[in-house]
Amino acid sequence: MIAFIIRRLVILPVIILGVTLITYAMFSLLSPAEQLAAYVSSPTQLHGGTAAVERLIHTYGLDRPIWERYLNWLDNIFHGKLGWSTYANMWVSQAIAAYFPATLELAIYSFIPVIIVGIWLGVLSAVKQNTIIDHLTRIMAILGWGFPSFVLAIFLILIFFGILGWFPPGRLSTWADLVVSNLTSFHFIRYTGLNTIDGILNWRWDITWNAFRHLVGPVFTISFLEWAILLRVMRASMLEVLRQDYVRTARAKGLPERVVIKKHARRNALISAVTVGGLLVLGFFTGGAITETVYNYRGLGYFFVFSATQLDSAAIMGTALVISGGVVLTNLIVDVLYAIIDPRVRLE
Amino acid sequence: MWRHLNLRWIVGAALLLLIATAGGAVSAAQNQVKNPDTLIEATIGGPETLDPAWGYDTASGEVIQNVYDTLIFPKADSASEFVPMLSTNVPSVADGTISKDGLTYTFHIRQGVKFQNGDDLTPFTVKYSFERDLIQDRAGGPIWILLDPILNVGTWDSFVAGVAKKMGVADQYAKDLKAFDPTKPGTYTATMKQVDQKAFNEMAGHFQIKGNDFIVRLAKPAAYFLSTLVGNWGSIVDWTWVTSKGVGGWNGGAATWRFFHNPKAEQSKLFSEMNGTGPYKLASWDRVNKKVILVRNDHYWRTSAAVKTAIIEGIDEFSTRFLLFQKGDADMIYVPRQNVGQVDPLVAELCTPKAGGPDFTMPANRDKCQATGNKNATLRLFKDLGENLNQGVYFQYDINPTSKYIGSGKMDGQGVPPEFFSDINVRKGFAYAFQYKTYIQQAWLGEAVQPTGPIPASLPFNNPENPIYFYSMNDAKAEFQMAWGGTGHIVAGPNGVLDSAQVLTEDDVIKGDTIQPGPDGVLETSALGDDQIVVDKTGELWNKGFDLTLLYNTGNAQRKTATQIFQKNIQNLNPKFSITIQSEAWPQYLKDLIAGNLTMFVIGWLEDFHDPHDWVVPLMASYGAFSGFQGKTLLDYAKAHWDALINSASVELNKAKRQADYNKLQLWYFEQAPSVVTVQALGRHYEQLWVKGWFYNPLYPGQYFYNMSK
Amino acid sequence: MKFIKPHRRTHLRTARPKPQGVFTSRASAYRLRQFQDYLARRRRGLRWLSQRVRRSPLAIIGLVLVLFFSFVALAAPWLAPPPSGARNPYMIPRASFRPYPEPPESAAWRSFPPDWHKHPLGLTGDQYDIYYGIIWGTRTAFRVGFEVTFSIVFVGVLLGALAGFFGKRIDNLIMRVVDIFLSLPALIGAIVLVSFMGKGLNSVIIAFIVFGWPFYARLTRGEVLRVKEVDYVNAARASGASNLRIIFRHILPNAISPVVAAATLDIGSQMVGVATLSFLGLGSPEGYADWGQLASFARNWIVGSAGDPTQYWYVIAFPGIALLLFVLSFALLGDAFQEILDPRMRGEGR
Repeated sequence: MIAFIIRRLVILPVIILGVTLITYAMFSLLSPAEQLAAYVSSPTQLHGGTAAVERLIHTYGLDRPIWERYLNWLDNIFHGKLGWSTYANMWVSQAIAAYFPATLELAIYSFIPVIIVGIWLGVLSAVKQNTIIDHLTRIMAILGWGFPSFVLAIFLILIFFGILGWFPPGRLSTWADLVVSNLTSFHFIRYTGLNTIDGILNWRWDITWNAFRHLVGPVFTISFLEWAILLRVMRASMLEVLRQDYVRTARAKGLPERVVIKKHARRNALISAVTVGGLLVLGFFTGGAITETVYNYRGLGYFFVFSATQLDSAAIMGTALVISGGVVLTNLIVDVLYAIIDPRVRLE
Repeated sequence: MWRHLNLRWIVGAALLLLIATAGGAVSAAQNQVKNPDTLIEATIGGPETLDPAWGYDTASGEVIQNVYDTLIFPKADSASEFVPMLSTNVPSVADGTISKDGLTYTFHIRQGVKFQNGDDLTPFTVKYSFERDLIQDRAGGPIWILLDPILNVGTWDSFVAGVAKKMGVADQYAKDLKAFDPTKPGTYTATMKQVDQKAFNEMAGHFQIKGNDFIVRLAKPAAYFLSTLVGNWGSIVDWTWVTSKGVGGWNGGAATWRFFHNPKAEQSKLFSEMNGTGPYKLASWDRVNKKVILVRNDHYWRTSAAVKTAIIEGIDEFSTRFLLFQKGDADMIYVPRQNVGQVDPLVAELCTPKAGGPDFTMPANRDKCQATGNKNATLRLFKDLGENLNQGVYFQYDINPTSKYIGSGKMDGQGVPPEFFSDINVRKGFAYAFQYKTYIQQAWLGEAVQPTGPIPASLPFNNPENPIYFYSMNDAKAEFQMAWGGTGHIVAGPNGVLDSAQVLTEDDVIKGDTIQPGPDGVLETSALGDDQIVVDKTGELWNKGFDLTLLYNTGNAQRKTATQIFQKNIQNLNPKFSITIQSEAWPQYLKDLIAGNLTMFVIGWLEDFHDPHDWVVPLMASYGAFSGFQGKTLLDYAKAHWDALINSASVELNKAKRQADYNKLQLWYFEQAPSVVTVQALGRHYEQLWVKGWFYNPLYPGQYFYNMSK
Repeated sequence: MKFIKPHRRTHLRTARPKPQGVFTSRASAYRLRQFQDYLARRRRGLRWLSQRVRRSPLAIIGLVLVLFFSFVALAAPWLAPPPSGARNPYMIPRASFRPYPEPPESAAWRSFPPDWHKHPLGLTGDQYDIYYGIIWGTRTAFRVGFEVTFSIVFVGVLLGALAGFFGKRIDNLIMRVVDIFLSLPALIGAIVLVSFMGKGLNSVIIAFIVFGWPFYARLTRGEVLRVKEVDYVNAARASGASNLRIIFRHILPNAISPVVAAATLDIGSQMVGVATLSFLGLGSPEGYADWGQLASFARNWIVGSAGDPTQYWYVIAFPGIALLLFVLSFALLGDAFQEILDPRMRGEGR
């Protein structure tokens, strides 16, 4: 077991280094003049014609050889800066730290419905295989799996905000934002950066409530896409478990069906559900980027998409690196966890 | 089974509860003033920096204008007159504060003014501010605007290089400069030190302190000097504070400036900190939420601002801004032209300028506002605000032969030769093929005017009589027939006077001798002339046809439409003419612009300072921001014919002569047609009814909150 | 794409004594038998598959939808004839140069196919015709879905088979590369690549290919590892068949079914991926018939105007429905395949 973990830990930096290589290889597709766009937001800044362009390229070191810049960038990563983001106007690492709490909050609240509903429906669907419940659940899963997140998000905004006015986009309403930014007489302390938690810690339940209302839309969008993943796996493993001998034995013993499913089948099916942890995190980053953008919810995904559309190279590469690090780490944790809880697994 | 039921019940009940309470929590109380102590503006983008000498975008300029003061300030309802600010006088020849030769400007510095941290304003810190501007001169920055009148150079680097040349060490200096690395003080060689100190002292000699006066000596009698001082680069910073340990900025010494020259945004010491004499202090620059929060400066030297807090929030999505606006959570928002129809039903008060055209300033009075009678309306709208912003389509005279956008690169019907647009008939053909009025009516919803040339109508020395192109398929056809080897001549029509070409459009209907708009409801013709171009021989272009790609940069609907109008009309002229439209993101567009790959570029110029010099330079000079990218043929032409005239017009103190010079330039631009100048936009400003005191001045980069109350 | 019956049944039938020795006639006879077997397997497999599909109502719905979209794509020139003089039918015509949307006109539906000049589904931002865009966008959707999926399946299966079959160093190398690519979510990776490569539909397709293949490589490798040691492969190896022949003749046909099911599911979702980038403004150029791009117009019009929040419902509703149904059609079909082809999903008795 320990040898397995160590070997995975050794491979980790190799993978991360590989990611930096392909990211930088992609970045090198940009010519110096294209990279300049991050610093020249309008051609009105090109007074002096081509001479001005050359001066700019030289100032930002865009004419230096690519390998030198790559090593520079790696050096930058080791110093924890990840380069300067022209979109966020700060170091990329600072920006990621600043955007992270919003994404974390979104993740926490998204995973709760995903896990509850995903597992519950997955079990239900397997137990009632080929009944109408199973079909409906499968349609739900297919819908969730295939519904374009941006379309879902826009539909939800249209209905729940445009028409009903319940769940506004953004992270906080203006009045709440003023409180959190300490522009009112109230002294608001930022303990965690998570609005819902900070609201409680400051004993401002109205802030918590306001933050919740802003979370409903994005949380629903993300979890609707995510629970399909869990549901499918849960259903499959449940079906497999139900065919196992020990389940048959339990049934043969005359145990009530409810007990058989709960005590014997579900517990074992849950073990294989752990394996989708990595998939869920992957899906969260994918769905989160779009959802945060459409809901104007300023988290990591929002930052990533906007820096991509404005070609803030350092931010694009830095965020991608951090995301892939998150995925790799999750996979590692999932593997280890799986090994611990499932005695049948032999780690090679 | 009960457990399943249980779970289902809990989830269901929780959802119900959530929805019910969320619904109940929404209670819109509209009519009372929301957040009475705070002015909230929701706009797009955000500042790039807070350093007055670095910023060159309107978002940075807006913040800087609210926190720093300049020596003089735009007069409330005028774009070309100024009022005293940190200087107690606006220099003029009449009282001798501008010397007769137009070279020396004297400012009496206001006494008793304090910076926001408590330091005093002194003539010394004024001098320091200007010196800091000049030595910092970052690449792509605004400082050329000051360098040009004061030192008569384009960049600080070229000034220093000039000094090195005078000292006879030009080669050594250039070599040392190349090896110089600001992080290694050892690379700062003796030669560089000598040159740098000499250059600095020569520059500092242009500024002088006499008692309480600050005197600037210009290198050339630039008539527009005062108008350059109201931009953010004219802000006065506090020497004591900038050089303090916490900030660590340049100490003002000749020996150290090199290390503060040409910084990147984050390297500039004033990047995120502010200490001005202005009406608002910086409370925070929340770069995650793109929000700048300003609080009132209670010790302002004028009466303090009326509203305690001002927030500028960058929200890129219009829908979100509009929602805030509807709920009263934003006091003013930026509304893109295409979305005005969504907001207009909420307008209770409409403020338009005097009838008969755009107004370029909007005085503080409310006489011109009228109630619209809209129900439940809560907004005020100012319309037809003349922005000093011209949109144009600029031709590339020498397209890069390797460009992907010229097809075969030959005159064979499958592409165009790289010198396609160096033929004047081609350029004129394009100019005639553009539906100026349709464009204004539809793409700009009627709120724009066609400019009369490179200098917009809102500027002094504009010539309203300058001829303009108008939409005429006949003229376009004749021009294309004469292009590339065709010949023709113009004959007068029956009235025997050569005035303008006959106009017939596909839509317009001729009834008797008047023209009425066709089915699209837009009258295309601007004049009913009867001149005719008789084409004697059609050129190669007409006979063989061409295939060309026009590009616009993504995200600008009006620019896209401009290219589509060319496409539609020119393809209709001749079945052998083919135009493809392509959009590119800004980075690729910029690359193609720099490499000369674009066949033409669609772009707008927003003035830096209010003088025709800031228009003829970018559009006509060989070193201009736009003309500099239109190919060597135009560059050479501009060098030979225009550069000298541009320069002499800028230093001409006699107004009549200056006008004559600019008239000549404007007419010349029309005749050469290096671009199709399409529109000068008229802007709108929406605000909540409870906002008071706003007025329009085109020189403000954004909102000047000092004027406003709530 | 051929649908092959699942491995379990096949290898039971093909497990036969290993032919030893050098009797060429016996060897060739064996090969002939084997080929006949293979054909029969295919025929039976197809029949069996079609039976299963016919029994699943969801799969039928999916199939009908796929056929419907295929019809729309093929009949696009008839359903929405391009305007005269248009040089590229995929560019959606603008009704005028005005910027705002206009609602559908029911008068357009009096004839069939409806006259798009009267904008039957309304006009979106910049007055692009929604009906025209959806009809021609179907072709884009198919093109994008198939181009991306076929490419990633091809590359993924090839590399996965190589890794699984040869093992050792090749396996290690390929799988480490796969690990690296899989650590970037496909959409995130695609956004990175497209923003550096320059926007455009082709860039987006390339980007999704670059980040899509590792999934299939891993899937195929797993299947190949399982199939490679079964008897008939050993038999083929012993009979002196070349490696390539073994891979393509014996291993892949029996390892491919999960790939087929996954790929069917994937056609729709790859299309959505590309549409998502178009939605973000990184994909097809403005005015190109692409559903994601049509949907992106909705972002500016989603709130309607004051007092009428649903004024512009048609701007998102029609492109949204088109996207959803397209994805759904392949998802239903793919889900049914997976249910049928994956033995774990089959269940027994209950």
